[in-house]
Amino acid sequence: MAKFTRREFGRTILAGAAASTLGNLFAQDDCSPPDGTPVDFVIPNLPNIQRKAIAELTPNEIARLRLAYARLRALTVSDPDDPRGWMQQANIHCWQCGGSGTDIHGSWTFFPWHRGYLYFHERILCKLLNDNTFRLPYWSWDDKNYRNLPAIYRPATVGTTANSLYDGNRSSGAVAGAPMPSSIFPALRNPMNAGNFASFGGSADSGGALEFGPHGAIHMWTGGADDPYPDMGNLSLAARDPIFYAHHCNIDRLWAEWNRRNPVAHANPTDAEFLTRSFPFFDENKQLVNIRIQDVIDPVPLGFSYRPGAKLSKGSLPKWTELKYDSATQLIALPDNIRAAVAAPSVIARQRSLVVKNVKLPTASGLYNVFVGDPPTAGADQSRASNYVGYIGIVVGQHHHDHNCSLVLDATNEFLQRAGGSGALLTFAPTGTTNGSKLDFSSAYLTEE
Amino acid sequence: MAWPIACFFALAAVVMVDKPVTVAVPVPEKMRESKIVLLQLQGVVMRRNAPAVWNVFWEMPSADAQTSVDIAHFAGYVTSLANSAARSAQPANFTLELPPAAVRATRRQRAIRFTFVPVGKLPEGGVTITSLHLE
Repeated sequence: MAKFTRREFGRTILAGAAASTLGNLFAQDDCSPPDGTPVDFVIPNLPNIQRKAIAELTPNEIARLRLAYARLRALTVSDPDDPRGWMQQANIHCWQCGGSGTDIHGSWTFFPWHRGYLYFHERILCKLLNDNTFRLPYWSWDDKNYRNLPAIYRPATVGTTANSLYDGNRSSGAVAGAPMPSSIFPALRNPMNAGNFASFGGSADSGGALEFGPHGAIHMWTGGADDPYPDMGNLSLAARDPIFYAHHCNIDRLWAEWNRRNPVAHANPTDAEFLTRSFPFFDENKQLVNIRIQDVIDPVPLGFSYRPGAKLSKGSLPKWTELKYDSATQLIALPDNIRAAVAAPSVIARQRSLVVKNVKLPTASGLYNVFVGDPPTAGADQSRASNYVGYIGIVVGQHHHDHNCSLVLDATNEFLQRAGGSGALLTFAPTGTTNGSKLDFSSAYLTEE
Repeated sequence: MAWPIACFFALAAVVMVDKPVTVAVPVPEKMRESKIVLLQLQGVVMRRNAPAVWNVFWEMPSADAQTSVDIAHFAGYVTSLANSAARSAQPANFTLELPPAAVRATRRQRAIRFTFVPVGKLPEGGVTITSLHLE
């Protein structure tokens, strides 16, 4: 736990007292682009620590959160030009919301840009705390028990100290701890039930349901619906309220949860235009860094994850069944209780997928086909073979990292027959060759919609 | 099916100021078997100095600001935050996934009527939706 020094205590009181008027020191539309030459992002070596709900924080964790934001605010006072400081951080968001930079809202960049933004914000707070175990908390408004402004963000002071989580520009309802209107969460329309990414997260030129649904509505409710729409109610000023980061942490969590619920139908876009898009952020060492969307798709290498589950859903979840896997023979087998169900003809064609976890990836760049059993004869279109179940695309670049990943493959009839019989062996081979190798992984699951 | 006089096909821009507006959006023939149907609102233009919120109902032209959103004919809502830094009113696009009952309706109707209901005051000049289509 980082220590709060006496000298720093006094400085933070000053910073906290100034917090409500600090915005006046900066122009309303101070959305200047970041200054500097960016370097490429390198995947860090961080422990994977779960982010927690605000409601789950211990008293010590609440004190650490307050200290983190107190130091961030103090940095703005002691060195307004430090790009890691409170107002400079807020202006990064302003810059990317139509100020002088590209607007990352209203399209499929909404989720990944904010994940990158929160990641660097978290790294800066860790640095200021000298504590690498700090993780941002999320405002779990998906749970109806937490649909008001969290209590630790409400008071202007805590004892005699300014509350670094306080913001003076909030609606009266939010300040009073009143519940959000139920219309934000219609009973029968729920973005977590979106059937594909275009609906959930948008496309190259269109916003998705979570962004212009609860995300926007909670922004407005927190900031107030009256002119001049301060802080949370105004895109360009929103990141001047500490609750912004907890709100977006929950948005980020719901994105991860939506992906988790159905790895097939809820897959993220795979377009190169999406994955290779990059954005600049200042890191904890004041270095401007370009991070690509593909670097933030999986949060685990960035040092954080979320406990599975969210309450913003009435939709049915896909059924997951763990398959038997013999690591010695590397054969997958169906459990007895589902053999009959899988073999029975169904009036409705079911969508079944095979998910294998912790796959050891090939080390050379290329496209690899995955088969049940041996690869077919080279020369034919291997993706049309009856034992083809999917592919792995590997791009070994400057920043290639060897973290484990999951593969979503087709649970084809051939796979099900073999897994229901003597067992199914998965192999992979470079496209167009017969040089098959056994696929190495830790566990296998069958998902069914 | 008879179409009320107030309803028109969404071939021209839809302008929402302070009252609900109902438009009929044709169902493309190729979409009649789709499991997921998206309503695309394209070229949505409004002044960004104020927020905007509107509800969308399907086959419910009587919907107004008092209509509950917890009904099967509610298709969703759209929020647009104020943005004092926005240099101009850049058009935005929004995607709404139709609820299951509305998807079933696309299999038997040549068009679906959507009613756009302002929630609270819209920015001065209202909201213009340049085009709508189902995909």
